[in-house]
Amino acid sequence: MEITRQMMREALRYIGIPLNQENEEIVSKVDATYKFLEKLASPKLISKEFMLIRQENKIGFEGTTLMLESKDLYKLFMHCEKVYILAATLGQEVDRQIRLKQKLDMLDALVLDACASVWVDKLCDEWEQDRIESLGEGQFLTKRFSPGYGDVPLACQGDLLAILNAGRHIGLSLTKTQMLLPTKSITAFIGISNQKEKREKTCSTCSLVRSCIYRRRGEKCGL
Amino acid sequence: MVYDILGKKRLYLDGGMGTVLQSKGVKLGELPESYNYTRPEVIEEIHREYLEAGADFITTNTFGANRYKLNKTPYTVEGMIEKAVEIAKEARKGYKNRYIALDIGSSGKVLEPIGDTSFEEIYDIFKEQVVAGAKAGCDVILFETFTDLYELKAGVLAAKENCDLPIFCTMSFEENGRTFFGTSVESMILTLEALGVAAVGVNCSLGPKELKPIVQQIVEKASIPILVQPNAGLPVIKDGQVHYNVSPKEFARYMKEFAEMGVSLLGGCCGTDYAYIRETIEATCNEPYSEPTYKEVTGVCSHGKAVYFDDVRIIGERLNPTGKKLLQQALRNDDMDYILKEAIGQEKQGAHLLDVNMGLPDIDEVAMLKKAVTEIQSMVKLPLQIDSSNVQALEEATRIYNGKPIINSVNGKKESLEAILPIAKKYGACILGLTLDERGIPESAEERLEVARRIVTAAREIGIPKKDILIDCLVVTASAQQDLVLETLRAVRLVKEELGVKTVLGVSNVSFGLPNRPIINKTMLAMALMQGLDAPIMNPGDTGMLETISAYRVLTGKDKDSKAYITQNTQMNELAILPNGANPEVEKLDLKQAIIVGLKEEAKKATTSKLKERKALEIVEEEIVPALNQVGTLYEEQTIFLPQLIKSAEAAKKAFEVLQQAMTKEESSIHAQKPKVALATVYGDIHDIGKNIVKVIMENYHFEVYDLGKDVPSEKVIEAVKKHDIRIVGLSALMTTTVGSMKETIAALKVACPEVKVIVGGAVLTPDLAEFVEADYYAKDAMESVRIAEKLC
Repeated sequence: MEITRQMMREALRYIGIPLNQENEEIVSKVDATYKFLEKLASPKLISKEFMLIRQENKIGFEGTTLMLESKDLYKLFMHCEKVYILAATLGQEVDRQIRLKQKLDMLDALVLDACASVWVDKLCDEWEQDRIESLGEGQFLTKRFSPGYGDVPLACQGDLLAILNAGRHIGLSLTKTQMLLPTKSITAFIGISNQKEKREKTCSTCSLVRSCIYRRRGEKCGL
Repeated sequence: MVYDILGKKRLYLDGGMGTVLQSKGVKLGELPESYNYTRPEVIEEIHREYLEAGADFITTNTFGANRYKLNKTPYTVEGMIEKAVEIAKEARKGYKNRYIALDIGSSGKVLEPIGDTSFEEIYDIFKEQVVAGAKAGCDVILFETFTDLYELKAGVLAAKENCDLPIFCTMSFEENGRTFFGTSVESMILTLEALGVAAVGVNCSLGPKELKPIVQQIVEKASIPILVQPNAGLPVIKDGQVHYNVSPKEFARYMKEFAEMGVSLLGGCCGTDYAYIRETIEATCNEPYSEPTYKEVTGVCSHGKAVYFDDVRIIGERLNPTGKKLLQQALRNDDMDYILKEAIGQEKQGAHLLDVNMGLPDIDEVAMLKKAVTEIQSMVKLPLQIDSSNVQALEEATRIYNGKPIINSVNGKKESLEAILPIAKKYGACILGLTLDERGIPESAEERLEVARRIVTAAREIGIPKKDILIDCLVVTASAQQDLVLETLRAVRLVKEELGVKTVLGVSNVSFGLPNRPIINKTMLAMALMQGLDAPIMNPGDTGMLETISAYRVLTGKDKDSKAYITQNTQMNELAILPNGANPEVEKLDLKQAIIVGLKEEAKKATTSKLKERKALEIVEEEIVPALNQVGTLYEEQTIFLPQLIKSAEAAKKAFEVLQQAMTKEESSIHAQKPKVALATVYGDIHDIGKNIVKVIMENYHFEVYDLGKDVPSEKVIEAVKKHDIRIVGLSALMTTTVGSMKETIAALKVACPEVKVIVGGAVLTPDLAEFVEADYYAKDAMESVRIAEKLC
């Protein structure tokens, strides 16, 4: 696996090192941790494509029972006829190693946790890149949008997993409070648009921009 | 009766239900079980197609008919299952000798400590299904597509304890031979056979071709009938729809191979329909059938690791508080971290199993043993030997054990046999029998053999197979009973030869009261191994004993071509060279510097050498505290960042560990006077790395931290605060959704313990939110938590 500059930067940000303040030691630790992670993880991703249904202010997915009331999704899929629903995970062993490292060396655990978070994101990025290359002319991907972002309720996690049969195919489960297990996992919607979409992740397009607690602290939610 | 034919001839199950229903119009995300009510004729038709194809068993449309999945629907579990069995019965009319299997899939929840659902809650979920199914009149309970052995064990127990029907179990494996939860084929078989299920096997996830190596493994290990239900190949997405790529004819060709390999029950899973079953039956019905063969192999397991007693097996002895001051202290403080570190350490040193004994007169042993077993199992892969003289503790810990453990112990006393053997039988465990009875430990080897024989007979009478019995002939101390040492060794040989069971000995007991114990221990070990000892209970950190074992394995030909021995010894030489080659500059670092830079090993060395000239407490006051203060300031000035802060904390921790062991009683009691803090990640939240960082830092700044873990209900926080007289509570939440839970916890805490001050933190927290949840303080990071707590003392 190639560890990109982006991956290094993200991991350093997660472990609390401000931009350009890293030293050689921590860089090589992050590097080694990514390599360790590569041996450890069993990355899996599953996706399905659906025709979009618009009903008043709701968004539906053909062939499923899922209907969501979400201004953010409605806006995001403005120019879409089809959407993907996807789920990705690094698997249980990564979680176990993060737990184990916390007992032995908290710094190792912190770095592993950060690298795993970056990597599961990268898994989705790579899938997107793959999709983009296979799209026809005049087709573009929207950005990725997960339950819990903006006004998309976390409570729809269960529906997403059911639609993808993600328990059976990639081993995803939920806690009673709708958190994904294994913890280094992602579920998301992504639209196929007929217009070039803004894919940068910015706060300006989020409906929670006024009330966002991350933003108020000068941080980002990770969107 | 199913039992009359099971294993005696080849039997056929049906194929897919879910995928067939999808092709008949069930939408994604729609509850397939709702068809039992809305379109029962469709379900009946599917059953009839399978019966017509020749299936002996049809499976009810109840895969997800559990309380979690039905609670948002108008249906009840009992009603749904009754309806489904009714449909199956209706379909079966007119067919002879066909059976109805109650289909039970995974609950979709993950068990503690990895998930948030308790073993007993999952048990109740399955119990509800089992009871309804048995009442409705199904013939078999079928647990299928499980990936978590732990959840499956809860299900099997629910079935065993609430009905008399045969239990079939299948799990789903990936191509690497493991489930998503890391369960191995060997662990599945060891655990489920010991629990007494009627058939075991594999279904779903892969096509028949990819399943072949997994089926091969099952055939080699299992003694009971094997069940295989593959998918119709691997899923391929075509036009946004899932298709499977193996035709009925090709499927049947593979199934024929499985039949030849010795699989007793054949069926299909996703993507298969009646045509696959019809072809399978046609291809195999004239093949000769062979009954399952019994495997006389002693094995135990965790969910992911099986250990067979076909070679010397080391049972780690260090998780037993007898004579261990630090472990006793840890148990009294609910300090699970210490216990986990001991477990992890022994695994690294090469133990094959770990003995776990949490017996101290002044703690709740039942609760502690259960907790220790659960926590150790989430961290360490090794199987455990559950050790207690408290029957209730043994039973409860064995019940919630994930896999097949050893119970330590039963003995020849009538009372013990009657209490312990049924526990082993019910929960599927090996037993360790001690050769003592009402008379105490008999002196002669022959008398000990007699006791062992009585244990073996009693165990076999209640259905525990011989392979699941291990005998400990009991080591006496050479200093007190020198004459009897040889009797113990003779007894090992006699038990081995006459009874043919595996033997265990707590070897190092022999040297109590003698100087230079390691010499006696390793010599005793060598002598015992020659008598046929299979598993010494010992300290895996005892190099001398480890060397004895590796030499023994060379001399007895167990270590083929001395490979392991050669590798170990060349590695050791390389390691031995290291100290001379180490960086001399780093070596010279003083303790203060080592902590500031964050070098664990150097901090340890510097502390050890400082101890030669100074007292432990002086070192704390004059070296460690100033170093930590400097680190704290550097962090607050943003000269260093979180990783360096943690690194220094870890180095200081090492120094404290060294000092703790060197402290005099008086020093320990002064040092032990620390302000107490309870830390918890609130109920509903499972992300706890932030809280754990706070813990490491606070411990360094001389706080006694009671770590209550993650997903902690408010009652638990209150209980700990009251029990340990705690004044400061730190709560953390990572998700916006759990901030509400934080508010509730604080409200409950303020009512129950008004004098407690609450500090909150975590990814989503802000000063505003801290105010909203009515916390006393908001801490933006670990260092600030320390500073606030310091002010509160």
